[in-house]
Amino acid sequence: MFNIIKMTVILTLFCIISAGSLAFVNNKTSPVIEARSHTEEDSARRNLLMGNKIDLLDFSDDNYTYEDSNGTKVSINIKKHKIKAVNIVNLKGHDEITRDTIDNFVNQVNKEQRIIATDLNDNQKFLFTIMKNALKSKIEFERYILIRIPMIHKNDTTKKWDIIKAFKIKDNDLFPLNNDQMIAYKLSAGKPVFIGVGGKIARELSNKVNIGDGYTNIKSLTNPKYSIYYVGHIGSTELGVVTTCSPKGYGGPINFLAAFDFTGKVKGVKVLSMNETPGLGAKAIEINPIMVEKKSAKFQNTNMDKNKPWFTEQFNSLSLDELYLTKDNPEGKVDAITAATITSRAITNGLREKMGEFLKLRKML
Amino acid sequence: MANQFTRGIFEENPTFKLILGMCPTLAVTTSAINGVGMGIATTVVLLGSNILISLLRKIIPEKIRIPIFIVIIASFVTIVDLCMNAYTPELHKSLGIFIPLIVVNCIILGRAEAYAFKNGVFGSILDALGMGVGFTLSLTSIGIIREILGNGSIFGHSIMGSGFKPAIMMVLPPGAFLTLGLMMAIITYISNKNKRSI
Repeated sequence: MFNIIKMTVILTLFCIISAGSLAFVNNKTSPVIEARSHTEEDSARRNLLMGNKIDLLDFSDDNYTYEDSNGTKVSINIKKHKIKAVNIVNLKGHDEITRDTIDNFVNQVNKEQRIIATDLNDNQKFLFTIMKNALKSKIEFERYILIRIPMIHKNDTTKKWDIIKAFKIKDNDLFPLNNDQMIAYKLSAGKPVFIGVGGKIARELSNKVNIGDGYTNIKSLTNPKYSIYYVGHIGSTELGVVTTCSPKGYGGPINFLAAFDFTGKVKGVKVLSMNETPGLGAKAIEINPIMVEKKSAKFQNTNMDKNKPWFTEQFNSLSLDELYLTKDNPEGKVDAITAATITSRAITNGLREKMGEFLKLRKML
Repeated sequence: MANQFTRGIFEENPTFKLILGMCPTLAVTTSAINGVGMGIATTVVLLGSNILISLLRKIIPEKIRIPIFIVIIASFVTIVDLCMNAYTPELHKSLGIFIPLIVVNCIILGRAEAYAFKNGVFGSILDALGMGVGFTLSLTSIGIIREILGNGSIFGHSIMGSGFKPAIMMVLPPGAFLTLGLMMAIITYISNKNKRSI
């Protein structure tokens, strides 16, 4: 008997000590992990909205500055959609770039109004990248939430109805779902948290909530379906909208960012994380210039970048009815990855659903 | 003394001789860097658990040693997992689920049970390092072979000309079994030959 108690105590002690040390390590590492994924996503969002081009018409009169980790500093002054002055300090590792190279490049950009990353030489590509970094740092985001709650009729479960509402949001702001402000949400750590306004809890609400003639569904009230849209703009120019999408692929969810412009076309897709089979589904992020050329010619899509994954580049500038795999729908303009139909279909269909949702949001804004 | 260290690399190599820890061996060795990463992660866990278990071997009651080993090993694995996620995100992404799975790697529990629980701290450190280095070396060599044949590169640097067409099968599961089996056969052949000549 004494032995059993002794063993239990020892085992419990071990568990407590290990839990304590894990909590300590987690405390140290979780801010690093969070900060990294935050900056990664933020920079991916900006990249998607800029695309692979600099279009001077997007930029209003302002000074744009940027400093990278090597100490290279850029400042660009734009007036009336022309670059007036470019100052670059400390061109580490690119000593062959002279003032003339920079001036020539700037003149070229001014003349053509827009410049596309493809067909640039190495020096120009470097200048393009640092200038793009400076310009994209000025993109500001406004967040909108689109909240969708499937409701079921209290007495007749076959009757279903969705509440769809869109709000402009900030952290810790309340956004009410129904008109008498009985149900509201608060954004906490990027997630809407259900709050029964006035201290009411979900169960109390179940009898009182009547959103649309007796339709109620408390479970989905506390755990709503939502998506957060980042509307990016520089000054008064609206560049587009970025949102996260995570459809189910072959080996779990595929998380990617999708950018749309306000005319209802895809601006770009960037896969953040996935767990697809190497050599098959993982080809969704394979970079292959030859494939890009082939697909670009096949679908007459000139907005594809050779230095980005060929599969996701196919989506660029497609509209809603073109977002199908060619093998699923003759109107589709997306070729599947060979031997990875599930992955291709998941990304394409996920993107199409998001696009449909975005078009609904566009009406509400 | 030296024998305690080299044993894990040669005559008791965990992968090729003891045939332990086959799950990560087969699953993550799609590239050389994955092999190195998995090997180092396992070595760190092995070292930590071996030291702690040999230090505490007088306190741990014989009857509940296995649950306590698991608690210690799982804590170290979680610490390694968190640290890798924070400081080597790329590697963490490519190793994925196999880092948490180090908990069930037989090498670690095996060494705790067979060596650390019965020997002093110094010996346990040498044993852990030897086993860890042996495991890392074998994973890396499998990874290098699979990466060259399946991707035409070593540690991410392309070494084959543009005319080289990679055999994708080598980075898929069949490639893992083929490479492991053939390497094991070659190593067994060589060591048998050496034994006979002595």
